[in-house]
Amino acid sequence: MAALSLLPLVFVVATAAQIGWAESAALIFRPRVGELFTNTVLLVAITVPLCAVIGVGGAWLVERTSLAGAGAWGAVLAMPLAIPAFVNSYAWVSAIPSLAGLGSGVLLATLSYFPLVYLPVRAALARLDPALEQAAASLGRGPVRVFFGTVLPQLRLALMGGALLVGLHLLSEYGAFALIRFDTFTTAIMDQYRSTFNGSAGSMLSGVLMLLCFALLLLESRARGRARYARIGSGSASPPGRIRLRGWQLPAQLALLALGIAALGVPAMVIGGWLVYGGARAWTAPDLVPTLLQTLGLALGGGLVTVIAAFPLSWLAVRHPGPFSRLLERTNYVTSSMPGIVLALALVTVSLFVVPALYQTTALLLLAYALLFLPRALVPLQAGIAQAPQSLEEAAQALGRRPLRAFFGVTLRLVAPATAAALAMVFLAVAGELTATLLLSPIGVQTLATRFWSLSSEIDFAGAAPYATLLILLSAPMTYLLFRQSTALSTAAASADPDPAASAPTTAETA
Amino acid sequence: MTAHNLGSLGAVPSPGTGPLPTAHLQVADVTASYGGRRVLHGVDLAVQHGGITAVVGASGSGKTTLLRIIAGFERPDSGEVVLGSATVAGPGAWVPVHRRDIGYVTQDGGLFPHLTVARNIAFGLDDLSRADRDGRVAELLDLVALPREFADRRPDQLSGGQQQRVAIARALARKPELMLLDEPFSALDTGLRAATREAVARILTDAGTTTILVTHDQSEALSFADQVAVMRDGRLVQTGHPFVVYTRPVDRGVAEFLGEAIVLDAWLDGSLASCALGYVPVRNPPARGRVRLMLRPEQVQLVADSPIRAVVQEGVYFGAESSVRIRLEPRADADPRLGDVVSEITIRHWNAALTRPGQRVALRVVGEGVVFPA
Repeated sequence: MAALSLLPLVFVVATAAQIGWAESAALIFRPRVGELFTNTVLLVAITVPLCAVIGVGGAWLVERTSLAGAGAWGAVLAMPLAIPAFVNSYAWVSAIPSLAGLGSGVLLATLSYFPLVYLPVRAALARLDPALEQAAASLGRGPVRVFFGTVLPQLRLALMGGALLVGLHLLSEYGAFALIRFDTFTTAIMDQYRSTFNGSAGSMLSGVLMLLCFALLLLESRARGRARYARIGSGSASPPGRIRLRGWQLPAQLALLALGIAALGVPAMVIGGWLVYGGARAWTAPDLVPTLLQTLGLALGGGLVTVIAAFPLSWLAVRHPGPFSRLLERTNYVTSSMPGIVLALALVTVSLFVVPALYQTTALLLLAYALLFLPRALVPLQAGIAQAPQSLEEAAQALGRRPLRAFFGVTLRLVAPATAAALAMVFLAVAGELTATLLLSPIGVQTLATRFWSLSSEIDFAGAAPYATLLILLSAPMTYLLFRQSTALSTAAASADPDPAASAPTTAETA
Repeated sequence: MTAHNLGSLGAVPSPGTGPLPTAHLQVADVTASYGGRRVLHGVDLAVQHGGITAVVGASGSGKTTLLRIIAGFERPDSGEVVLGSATVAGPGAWVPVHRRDIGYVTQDGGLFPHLTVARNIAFGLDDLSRADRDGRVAELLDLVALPREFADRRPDQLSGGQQQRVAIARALARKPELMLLDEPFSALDTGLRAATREAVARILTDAGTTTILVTHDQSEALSFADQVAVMRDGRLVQTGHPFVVYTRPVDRGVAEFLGEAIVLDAWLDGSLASCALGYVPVRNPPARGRVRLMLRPEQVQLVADSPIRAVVQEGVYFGAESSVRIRLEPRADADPRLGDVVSEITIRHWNAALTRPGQRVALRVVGEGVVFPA
């Protein structure tokens, strides 16, 4: 699995070696690539800071100010995550067909991706020790200086992590930008593949795109530095004070309202409009149900394959941490940060030349899903395995269980919920995947995303609306889960303490 | 030091005595490594039938590794472990954990979070019929003084002390011949810790279960066990009755690890040491020369009058007693060979009124001291 995850890199290097350096250079250093490079870099350079400002600002308003309706706004700000970027793009472009170019790309990407910053930053804000802010205030700092001098530095890890995610999404997004005819490396690679099937030109573009991804990863790890911000001292944190907005209440409400309308209102209205326009006929289209079933089947298969591959990796990382397991893990995070299109292209080429029997098979598609979404399974699985500590398995052995029975009866049983969570995460991710599925799906296999894509590419906006609705419904549970994770901290702390009355018999007994 | 331990002084094995023939557990010359680093260097330990041995040491001293080797979770590099008449670990011999008849309780109790209290306790009782199992669970809940209604609770509905009792009940359920306790009380808060410790000691003594307790808390080791083994850097540096290791530590490190110690420059002449506290008889074999003399703070008492005088520098009030730092005045008959020594020592006293700074006091040493090479 780890070796497989290096496939895209091997593929690009091998292609370059095969066509020779001069030819590779000619394919890389040409005006078209310069144009794509400018587009892509500008997109990232403008969208990421915008998402950061909106994400941090939104999190701060919700968590730390007297914003009216903070609870509802907190949920609203997370909800755009449930709308896949290409669905959002479809909604906007069918409402305003003239949308095109960098400006529109930035607008759509910002509306789709700012929750990726908002959610982790909000979680970090909720976890911050307000004592630090109080200390800064007691040392004569005003609220603005406290925010920039004390709060923001502590949010750096969450902010950087979120910004990296936004950047990687921008590099790998195909559908959203293709619909508004804004060319990035990813859309160009897909065009190249579609029009000429020209392997070498596409793979050189892939190479540049991979370098951009590496650059982002490097930039993020450099910016993150070695700093760790942890609460020093013990005891439970007191709830932070909220800053009173006073005269700023109205501007804040209006800004959030505008954001909410742009990110949620427009897609909802447009999709709703198309649903009404299409009427019952759109829902009874003959391939809607088969497509849904195929999607669910692929999502389940992809989930199972991914979880099965992720289990030993997580096991190694938790139970036997060492250089080897860390290397495996890192390789994996790098691969999965590679755009789906690069991976898909690599798999297409390799299967054609090495294992032709695999080309355009479900097995290859499932493999692609596993490589793309492995980290989504690793995170819950590692947490789950960490919660089934080795000491419990040892306790079972000390009570006379054979090692294998101890493993199955105790450890696997305890990891079961985490395994289900991992399966669900991958399932939902596969259900909404577009780019790799477009390239790799066997003939006749359609998913909600690919069917939606072909309908909206044919400008059958009404026909696409039911698919858009189903895609949003399918990503809603994951959005909800992520939202819960970012806000569950305070409630978890309250329920962790066992009932104090439960210890009464013990003290009575000793008396 | 409890009355129980003082009362059983007659049974003190003299230091240096080899393993007794009745030893139930015999650890012989065990070495072990962890991640390429040697953590146990030739450990020997014998525990008698029904005895309670505390292995005490700072964190990282190797005490948990020793316990895990005895349990069978780790293999020794060399040496052997003999339990009863069977060699459970050694050259060519290996008995896996689940076939060793042991009970094992860790710091966090290690209760299975997905099972009720009753099913946790009955986890090792597969062979019994359901009725027998229920009866045994009820019996064990009584034994660890938990209400029988707790049987249907989940571990997360119990306090830390209760969870620990369930863990002990679970370990006792199979009537193991050897009970291994790995800091089982250290996660509990102070009041609960002492109470749980006493209850567990009583249960284990009544059941006659041979027990090894690993702890970093010296007062826990001294009060819980009838044999204390002090571990340092992977070696057992002293093994013996709690009273013996406390009052006759083999070196200054052991002395200071097991409790507060007053260490003074002294001149030894035969069995009498001359120091800033006057002449103090010592237990060591007679010798002459410059030494370090160790006394326990409780051996230095305040008296109405004495040639040994001191001035209180500082007192720290702890309620039942105060910790008092005093500066000893130079003795008129100070031994010239000691040179000019300024001595400040810390003692304990119950009367806070006597511990105000500037207060002049007279002192007396009771009992014998221990000397170490200077």
